[in-house]
Order: sequence, then structure tokens, then C-alpha cells
Amino acid sequence: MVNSKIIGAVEIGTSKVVVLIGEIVNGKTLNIVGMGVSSSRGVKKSEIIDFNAASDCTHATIMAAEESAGVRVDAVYLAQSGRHLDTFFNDAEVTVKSSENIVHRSDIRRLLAEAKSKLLPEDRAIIHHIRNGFQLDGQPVDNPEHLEGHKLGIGYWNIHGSVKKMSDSIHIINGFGLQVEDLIVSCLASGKMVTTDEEQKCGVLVIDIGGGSTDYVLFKNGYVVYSGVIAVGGDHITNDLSIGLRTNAKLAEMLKVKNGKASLEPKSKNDKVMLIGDLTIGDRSISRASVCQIINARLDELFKLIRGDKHIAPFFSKRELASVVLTGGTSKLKEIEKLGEKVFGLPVTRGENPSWVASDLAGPEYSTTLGLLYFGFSYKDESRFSEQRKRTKFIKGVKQLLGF
Amino acid sequence: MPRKKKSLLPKTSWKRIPQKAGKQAITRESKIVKMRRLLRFTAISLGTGSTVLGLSLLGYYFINTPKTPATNTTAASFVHLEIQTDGVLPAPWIEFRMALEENLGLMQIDMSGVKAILETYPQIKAASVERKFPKTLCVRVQERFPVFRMKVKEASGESVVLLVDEEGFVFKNIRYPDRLINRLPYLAGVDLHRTVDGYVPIQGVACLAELFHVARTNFPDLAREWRVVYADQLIMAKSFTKGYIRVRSRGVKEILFSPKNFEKQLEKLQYILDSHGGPSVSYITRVNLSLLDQPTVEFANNFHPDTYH
Repeated sequence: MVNSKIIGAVEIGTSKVVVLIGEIVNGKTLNIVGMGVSSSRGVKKSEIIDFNAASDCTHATIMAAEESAGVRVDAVYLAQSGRHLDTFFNDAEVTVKSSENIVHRSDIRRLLAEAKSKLLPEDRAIIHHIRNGFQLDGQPVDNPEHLEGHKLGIGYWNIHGSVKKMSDSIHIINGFGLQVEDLIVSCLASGKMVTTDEEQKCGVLVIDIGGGSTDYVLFKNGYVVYSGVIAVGGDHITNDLSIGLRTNAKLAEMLKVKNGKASLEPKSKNDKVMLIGDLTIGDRSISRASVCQIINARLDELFKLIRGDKHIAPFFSKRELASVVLTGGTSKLKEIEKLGEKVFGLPVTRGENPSWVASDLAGPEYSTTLGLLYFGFSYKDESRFSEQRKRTKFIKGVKQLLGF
Repeated sequence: MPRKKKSLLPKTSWKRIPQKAGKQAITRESKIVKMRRLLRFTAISLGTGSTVLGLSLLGYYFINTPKTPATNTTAASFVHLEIQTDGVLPAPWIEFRMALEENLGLMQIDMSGVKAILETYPQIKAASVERKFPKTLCVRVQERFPVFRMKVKEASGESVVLLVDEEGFVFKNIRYPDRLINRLPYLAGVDLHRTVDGYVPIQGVACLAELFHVARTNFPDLAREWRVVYADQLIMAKSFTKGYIRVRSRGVKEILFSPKNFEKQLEKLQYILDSHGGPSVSYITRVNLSLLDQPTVEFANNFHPDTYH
């Protein structure tokens, strides 16, 4: 008997809303069956500022995706980004209880509870507890159970956010009659998609440059070591162009996409580009150098902000990173890798989604939603942490049948 | 007061944020979705309700409707029952014994069953049941004709009269009139053996029946006087072509017949009795015709021809 579950991946971004619908067949196969994309409204710097406008475009996109798939979504995995996200590292250590110094499951449970017990302010909630591997007497181990040692330690990278901001995006999904199955930080989702396990072991910094914000995540030894958000994205470049070239945002965006480059080659210093390109009233020629300088300045600043992050800077100085991977819609800008290499001093590549993804989803702007689907696919239902999932399958089935 | 359930969620997890899916629809799309769900819910509820109601009505109908055979719907009921018999059994008696259900379709009649039921009655020798389309069931009954009668004692001590046909088959009388039965001679000198549903047929009766048949046909005055036919000597001879048949008539106590050439013997008997005053002559006690060409006649001890003439 075929057992299929329909999951939806929703990213409410600053410039666009992307919804992908996946069908998990027998828990083994993921088929992407539907897609919806629309320009976003009511979102600024990845945070919702107009609930109704954001709901409008999100609901329209979900509906379009459902219609393209011809199915109803059972559960939604929602991307989370924005300046409200923050991180901290929390480690814990316990003494192995047994007299023979053999690590038992109870020791591991005690350690995990201890490591996750850090309290947060009232208005903050944890999105991810990311385990950074066990240490037994200071030595890293994958699974300490049944090993001999005195001290068992673990480190957790915790990503937390504002309850209010998260509630806003959750309630948008709720407004469509759907429940959010899990919240996933955008950079983790896209990072998983554009890097391989090998790269994550060697050390890689993934920078997801979106419309309103830039998320970045650092992988080392196969674990997430750090993640952060900077409220600067592609929209800021558009805004800079609009101001710098005295044109409206729409034309500035067109100019950025068509003729924008992150670094200027000396040979094209004197090149001119047309603002609109159809010689209509208002169309005029602009120096390519001006366009590139504006883009370059903003991206250079952005990269330097990332490089200057006190949590990441040591990795650059100790040469512990193998490469930097750029993703997100803005990473499609030409010559952006060159600028990145200049700032980070490391090989910089543009992220590519896995080869199994259809060609129309291969662009870097879909890496976050693809990552959400991937999380949904590999999600392990830890029912003891979920009151909602305590409902029996029967009740769920009846409710679904009745449309609730 | 209801006790508050303890949550298993970590106190700091985002999953503590209450989700109110579908509580309020603010966008056009969510209103459409909500309306679709409402319509779906209504349709499913109505569908389920009408299915349950339909099933309930169906159940009620089945429970409260008298059970009729399903055959009614599959074949037309026959309207005419044609019964033919060569005996005395009246058609209503046969129809009643056939025990056919009312409004039974012609094709649904168990013909072999009906035949078997009729043939359980010993008086019925054979029965045939035939469909005559479109709406006639034809039943033909062949009955056993009694040749002799027997008086036997039942286990209860009560005497009953049984009839014997020419094949030696013993059966109880059903509807044969007394005037006919009373004319039949008794059969004696035979052992009657019971079976589960009747008696074992008597061997050698055919020979006796032939004699009686010839007598009744050609010499009815003689046959009318016969009261008892004894088969003991015939049975003792262990051959139905040897031995002799003993008959007791109203006048002559013992008439012995050879089991061959009955007509000739009866002619001689007629001659003997006619020459002595007729079949009911009482002073002849024994006529032995079994010797064929040389019949012997015994007279009563106080015989005096003048007394009788």
C-alpha cells in the first residue's frame, strides 16, 4: 500500500514568496509536485510589517501551488529569517554515573537535558538546538553509548528568535487553515542544499543573500558552528542604485538584474548601458562603471560585515575554512564570486542545487525552499516534544476528511 | 476543576506558540479555502446522513416485510395445476400432498422433490411432474390397483385391512370405496414382513392375481363367490409354476387350482358347479382342479341330492 504525505515548504521573503509542494511516498521518496511563486508584499528585511498584505500574497501563492499540484497540503515547513534571530552556544558536561565508567543511555539523556536547559527571556523561543557532537574525556566521539570515560560533554548551537515575529509568520500560515509543522532558519535550509557533507566537514561558509536580509551559516566538522543574519540584501542594492542613479526602484531593479556586476573589469570602464533599453521617454544611458561601483560598494560592505563577525573571524585567520558558497537570488549578480574572493581571501563559488532538482528549480533563489522540503522529508517525528502530533492517526484522518 | 495537562514541550521551544489554523479567514484565498471546506463538510455530512438514513430505511423495510421467496421476482407464478390419475385419488388430495408454496414460479418448482413426495405414498405406484409453458404444471399419477385384501393385526392389537396389488405390493387403502374393497377376496397363507415405511412385497401374488383376473373376466359368477385365496401351497412349493392355489368360496370350502392354464380349470369348475346347482352350491366341500384332466370333487358327508333340489 502506498502511504504518501503531502508537505509544503513556504518561504515568505522580502522580494518574493515561494511555495513548493512535495509528496513523500512511503517515507522514502520525495517528489516535488507543485510550485507557486509571487512577489511579496508587507515584508521588510524578512520581517512582517503588514500582516494582511503578507497574508494575501502568501495565501495566493499557497493556493496556486496547491492548484498546480492538485493536492492539499498536510503540513507546512516554514522558513524563518530576519534580524530578530540570534544564536548562542551552550555546552554541558556530566560525570559518567556507572562505577565501570561505561556511558549508558541515562547518562546521555541527562547530558542532553542539561545542555538544553538554558532559560531564555519570555519573548524569545528556540528554533533549533543544533548538536555539535559529543566529547568523552575531551575527545570527540560520534556516539558515546557503551564507551568508557569519566566526563561526557556536548555542545549545542541554539538559534532563537522573537516570539512575536515568529507568531506573525506562523499565523499567516494558520490563516490559510494550515498548521506549521516546523520552523527552519533559512540559511540552514539553503546551506544543506548547496553544500555537500564533505564541504561541511572541511569547513564552509554559506551566505544566502536574499532581498531584505543576508543569512549566513558556518559549517565545520560536519556541524553548524555559527549562523547569523544581517538585515542587508538585494533590495538595498536596488535602493542604492535608485538613489545613486536618480531613478525609480523598478528601473533600478531591472538595471541591477540586466547590467549589474559586483566588480568592474578595467576593459568595460567606459561602457554605457541604457536605463530602460527601448528608447522611450525617460530612457537614458548610464555609465556601467557607476552601476558596478554602487553594487560593489554595497556588497563589499556586506561581505566585510560577515567577515568581521567576531564569531566567524577566527576561522578566517586560522585558515579553517575551505570555501565560501553564495546562494540566494542576489548571488546571481555577475562577478560576485570575484568580489567575494577578494574580501574573504578564499575560493568563493555560487551555490548549485543538487542535480536531482528539476531545471526550473535549479536557481539559487529556490535553495531555501528546497532545503525546507529536504528537512520535511528527513524530519523525525519526536512526538514527545509535540502535543499536536499526539493525536492519533485516526482522528487526523477524520479531521482531514471533514476538511478541518 | 479540570486539572491542567502538563506539557512535554521544552519551555523555550517555538512550538509553544499557539496555532489557530482556520479560526479566522482574512484573505480572499483563505475565505475560498474555508468555504470549500465548509461545502465539503456539508456535502460529506449530508452524504453520510443520507447513507445512514437510507441504510436504516432499508433495514426497517427488510425487517418489517414478510419474507417471500426470491423466486417471485425471477419467474412468473404458474396459474394452472393439471392433475391426472388413473385411480381413485382425488386431485385436491394430490395437490395438498404436493405441498407447493403459493405464488411459486414455474421454473422454481422442485419437480423431483414433488415426485418424491407423491411416491412416498404406497398407493401411488409412480408420479410424473411436467412443466407446460407458459403457466401449467402437469402432474400424472399412476396408482396401484388392489387385487386382494389382507387383514392384519397392528402392534397396537387393532385389526386393519391392507390391500395387495398384482405385484404383491401391500398398501393401506386411500379412498378406494368400501363396495369395491368388500368384493376383493382375502389373501391368506403368506408371511408379511414390515419395513421402515411399509411391508415387503409378497412373492408369487402375480400368479394368484392372474387366476383372479381370468376368473373375474371370464367367469364373473364364480369369482364373485370367492372369499379367501391361499398362497401357502404355492409358496411351499418354492416355485410359482408348481404347487397349487387354494381358494375358498362362499359355497365350496376348498377349490384347488394348478398354477397353469387357469381358463381351462375355471371352465371345468364352472361345469362342475353348474351341474350341481350353481356357484353357491353348498354340498360340495372340495374341488381339486390341480390334477388338470382329472378333477376330483368331494361332497359333504350329509349330502343328499334331493335335499338340495
